[in-house]
Amino acid sequence: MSLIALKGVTKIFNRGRPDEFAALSDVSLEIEPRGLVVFKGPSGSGKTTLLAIVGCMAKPTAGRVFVHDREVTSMPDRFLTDIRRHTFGFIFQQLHLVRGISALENVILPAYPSGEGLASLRDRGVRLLDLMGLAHRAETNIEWLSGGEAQRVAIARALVNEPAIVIADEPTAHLDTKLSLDFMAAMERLKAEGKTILFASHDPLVCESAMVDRVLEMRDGRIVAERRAP
Amino acid sequence: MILSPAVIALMLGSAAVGLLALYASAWGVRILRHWDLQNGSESQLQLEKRTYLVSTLMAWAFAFQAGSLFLFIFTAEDLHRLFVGAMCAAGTLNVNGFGYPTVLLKVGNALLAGIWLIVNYTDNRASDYPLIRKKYAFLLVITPLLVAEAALQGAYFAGLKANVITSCCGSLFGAEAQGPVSSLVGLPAGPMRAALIASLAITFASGLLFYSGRVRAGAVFSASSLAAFFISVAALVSFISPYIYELPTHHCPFCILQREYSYIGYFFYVSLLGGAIPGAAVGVILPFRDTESLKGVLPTVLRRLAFASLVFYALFSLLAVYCVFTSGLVLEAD
Repeated sequence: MSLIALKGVTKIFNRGRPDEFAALSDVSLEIEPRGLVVFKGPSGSGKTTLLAIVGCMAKPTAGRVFVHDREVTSMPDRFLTDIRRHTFGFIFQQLHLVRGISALENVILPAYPSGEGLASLRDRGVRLLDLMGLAHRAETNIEWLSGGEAQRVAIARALVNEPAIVIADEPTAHLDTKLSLDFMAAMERLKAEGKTILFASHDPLVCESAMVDRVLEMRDGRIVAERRAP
Repeated sequence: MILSPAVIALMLGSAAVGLLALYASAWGVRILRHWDLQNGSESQLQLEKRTYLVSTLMAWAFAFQAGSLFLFIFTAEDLHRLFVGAMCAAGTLNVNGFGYPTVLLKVGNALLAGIWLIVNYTDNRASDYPLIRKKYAFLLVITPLLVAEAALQGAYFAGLKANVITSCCGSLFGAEAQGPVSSLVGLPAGPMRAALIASLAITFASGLLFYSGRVRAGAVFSASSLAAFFISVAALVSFISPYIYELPTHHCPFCILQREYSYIGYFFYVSLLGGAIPGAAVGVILPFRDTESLKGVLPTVLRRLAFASLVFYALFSLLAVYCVFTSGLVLEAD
């Protein structure tokens, strides 16, 4: 059984205008649970658009997307919000952490709309920061953290709603080798816990990593090659 | 034509609602012909995005539509001072032949618009658009009525001439009155009272049964709540209004909207529409209770509709009882 299925997904930006651009062209794909899948390709190949569509943050121009066998492309936004919140955790290339509040508050921020009690949220936030080796920085404002620490706060934030799928767009683009390896180690732990992890990356350190189960090579909005771990 | 701000607002509002309904109907036809959730084609996805916009626009248009009935009556009431012979909205509406057809069509459209809003609300509770075809088919039925209303209302306002001598409500709703609306005056008080009590009793009994979980009572409740609306309007003209005016020969359904009578007419009409719309909507959406994606939400929606309808009819009943028992008028039948 596939966790995510895409059927004939096409995404065209600026339809009918002179600058019309097809970011994805008729992509069909199935992703099994509990694995680490990397979408590899040059800039403009459609990796980020594909992740945005899989993560229910954008709708395709044509085609259908199924998550947990539930068709999501036809769903109105008020239903997608719930799916986004509880199924996916996002780690962005620009981390998008909120300055002026603490690391812990950043981590629990996506869980506020759930209505869960603050004490229970804070407990979970501290536990996640502890998992990332950052418990001692929980009350530190985000602007005082180093790049690596901020990256780990972003990972903790992605996990606060206990998602089944973690999506990361070019997660190592701004990291040096050591921080990249630390990040991959954190992802390996998540994978071991049974999470499904989807990356968009063209970093060899990610694509060539032994922990990657599947690399899907993209070019011009299509999947042109696939490599599975032996 | 008399260009008061309210007249301009009503004409622009009705024109906008009519145009929006035509626009939505054009999409409705496409949806009825081409909607297929199994299909991932670009045109299907376009329909899915567009229906969200269209139903949002129509929800606002219909909310205005329901409110415009009262603005129209208020305007007719307000303009009566300009016409020789008019004592209230009854005279203003009689200035030309389009007044009463407009108000009747507005009442019908307010009922239909309210029911459509509830169907739309219910459809939006599920993720797979279970009522979308029904919703747009219903819209296609309402659209010509909305356009007709805009045209009738436009003709009515355009034909308002200050030099016309009109009739007062005393002659329009007096003992000698003729015509379909005025004929309500001649309905005998005794049988009307019995019909009103019976229709409200059936509505309350079936509504309470339905609210407590007897699904089978839903159809009876829906039909009786709609019947109670028409019977109550007839009863208001036939025997309740004389108690309010304390004058056995005065049956005007519009004088009760005036300050002299504490604007009690607005409370009567709001409570009647508030009772009829959710009550009738119960019957419209009840057949879809077994739809898979609505199973989780429909029981709550239906119970809330029944509750709202019962509360409004209770308000109407209390008002009517209060008016009858505090009146200085004693009719022979009493």
